[in-house]
Amino acid sequence: MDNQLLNKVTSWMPWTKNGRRSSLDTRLLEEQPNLLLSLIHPDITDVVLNYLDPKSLLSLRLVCKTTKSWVDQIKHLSRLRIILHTGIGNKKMKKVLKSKTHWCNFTLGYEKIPKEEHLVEFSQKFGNTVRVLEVGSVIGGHAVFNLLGSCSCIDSVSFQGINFAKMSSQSNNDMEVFVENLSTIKSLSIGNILFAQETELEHFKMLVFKCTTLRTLKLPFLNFTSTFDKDERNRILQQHVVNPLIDYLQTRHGSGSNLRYLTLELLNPLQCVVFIDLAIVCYKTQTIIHNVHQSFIKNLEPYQENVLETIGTLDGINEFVQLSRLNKVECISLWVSSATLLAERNLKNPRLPILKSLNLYLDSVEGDTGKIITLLRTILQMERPTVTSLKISYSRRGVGSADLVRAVDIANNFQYLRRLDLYQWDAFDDEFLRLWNGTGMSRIEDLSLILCSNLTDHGLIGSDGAHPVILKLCSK
Amino acid sequence: MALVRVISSDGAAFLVSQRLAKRSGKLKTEIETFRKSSDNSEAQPEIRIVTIRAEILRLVLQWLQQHQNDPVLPANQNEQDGRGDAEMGQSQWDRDFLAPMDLGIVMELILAANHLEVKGLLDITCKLVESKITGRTVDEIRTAFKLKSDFKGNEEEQTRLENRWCVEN
Repeated sequence: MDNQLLNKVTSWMPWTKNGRRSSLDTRLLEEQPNLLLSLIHPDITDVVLNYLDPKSLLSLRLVCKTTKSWVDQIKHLSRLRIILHTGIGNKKMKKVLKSKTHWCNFTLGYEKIPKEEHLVEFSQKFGNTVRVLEVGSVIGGHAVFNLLGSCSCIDSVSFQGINFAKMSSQSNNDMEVFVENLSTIKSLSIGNILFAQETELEHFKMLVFKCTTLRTLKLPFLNFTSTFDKDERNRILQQHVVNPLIDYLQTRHGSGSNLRYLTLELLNPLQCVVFIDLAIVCYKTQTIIHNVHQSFIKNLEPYQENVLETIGTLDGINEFVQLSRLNKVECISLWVSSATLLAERNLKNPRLPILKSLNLYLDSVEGDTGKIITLLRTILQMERPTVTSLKISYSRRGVGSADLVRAVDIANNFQYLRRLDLYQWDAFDDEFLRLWNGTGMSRIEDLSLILCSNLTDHGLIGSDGAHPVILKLCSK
Repeated sequence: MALVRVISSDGAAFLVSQRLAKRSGKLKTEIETFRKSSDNSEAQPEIRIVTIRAEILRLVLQWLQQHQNDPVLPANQNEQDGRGDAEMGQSQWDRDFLAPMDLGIVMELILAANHLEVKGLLDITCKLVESKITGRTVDEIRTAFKLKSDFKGNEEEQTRLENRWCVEN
């Protein structure tokens, strides 16, 4: 905020000039309760509103005119999503179209998109305000392209799917307007791509290269027909998705503006060599890759280990993964059976400095559990102040000992948990009581206990029925 | 120890170490600018904050003093969620620090933290305001902030109807 603006702010708060708030100022505030709101500069309200979830934003709209006006700005309305689809669809669509509020975050259709006539009206009404648009059906038709062509300020687009075969039959003009509006978007997500001919996949390259300001990109699932064998699928994936993406990343890097987050499609698994080529470029462009499966990381040469530093979400672990290199990982899922593959170097210095979400699966393991215990201790017996979500799932056919995970480790080391999910944890009441007494448990917002068969009422209440221990979770 | 004089809008001067002052992004920039433009490397910088009164500036410096050895919080990387890392940085001391403040002071503190670029303080103050809103009914929010409804006619009912569009699917 510049000084001129700040001077304006403080001129609204007279006591900031003379250094003290007079009794008159205080009385004025008491007599006119909404006055304080009008004294608050929009910069402050914007900062505060950024902390609120959508439900709270909706509550604020109902408090008074001033708080409603705070929320009814594009930047905050863009977090309030309206879903319009055929089930309750057209009545709601008509009402929304009559609204005077500049709604700007929409999901259109799950099975069918709304009627074409409504889409035309929708384009006219909201075309200039829409910032976030999710199209919950496969697009390729004229009406949706027209709609997208009218959304001139859009920031984020998500398609459930695109039918490239249909796109090829669109008039050039429709396509040009459509892709022109993609040139300023920041987020693009494509669920899946339908295609009849391999050549149609050229559209993907065209789409991505048009998006010159993207910060996040979710790759599509290529809907291969059964006529393509595995080798063909891998070749097509590399030729029409990964290689254009590498070119795109390098072009963007050259222009000084990088893609920040790339989400892979796990249903189109990448071959190791292809993933590593992509990840090497991502390392150079500082692009974080989400949805990386451990099977993509094989035969990693020492000079290629930098690619581990590009991973944002990792599914599984193997002998080529070193926890010490995972300094960008926000979410990790570990199956303890993989512990048998790991050596000391894999588990050395397991800081995981920005880890937010940890999923541990205690799956089927035969033989010695020593390596499993080492893996679990490495992960759980270290302070994890950044982790807000922890999920631990035991498999019935897997390792049976509840002792493998100790309540005291969760209670002491995960101090800022907001979500805890325990599945088939066979711990007894005393362990649960230790858990609820943990320092960080008061921050839990979402607790899930499923099939914890040794847990009884005592494990939730403790010895004093008048003061149930579990209620400590509500004491924040 | 190198010092810097920070002067509030109402003329109160605070002498603080440059190391402490540099925990504020704004003061750090001002000190560095002063260093570049000053011929005398021993000269003591003087920074006038024309928009923050002494009571608030003292609170900011008190908070910085308490947190002078904290690691600098990383920038929020989640672009979809502008919320900061208040929970991470909040201590019992912070809770005790904020407890006696009325809402007006908290708002001024938010403004000051924003201007002086003190992310940790901005996070905890915004979080405090957020905690007075999140999970509360509309009437509870009105009570907490001493507000009255000023909707006319069917404005409130219309807003309630609109809100329903955002929660039903």
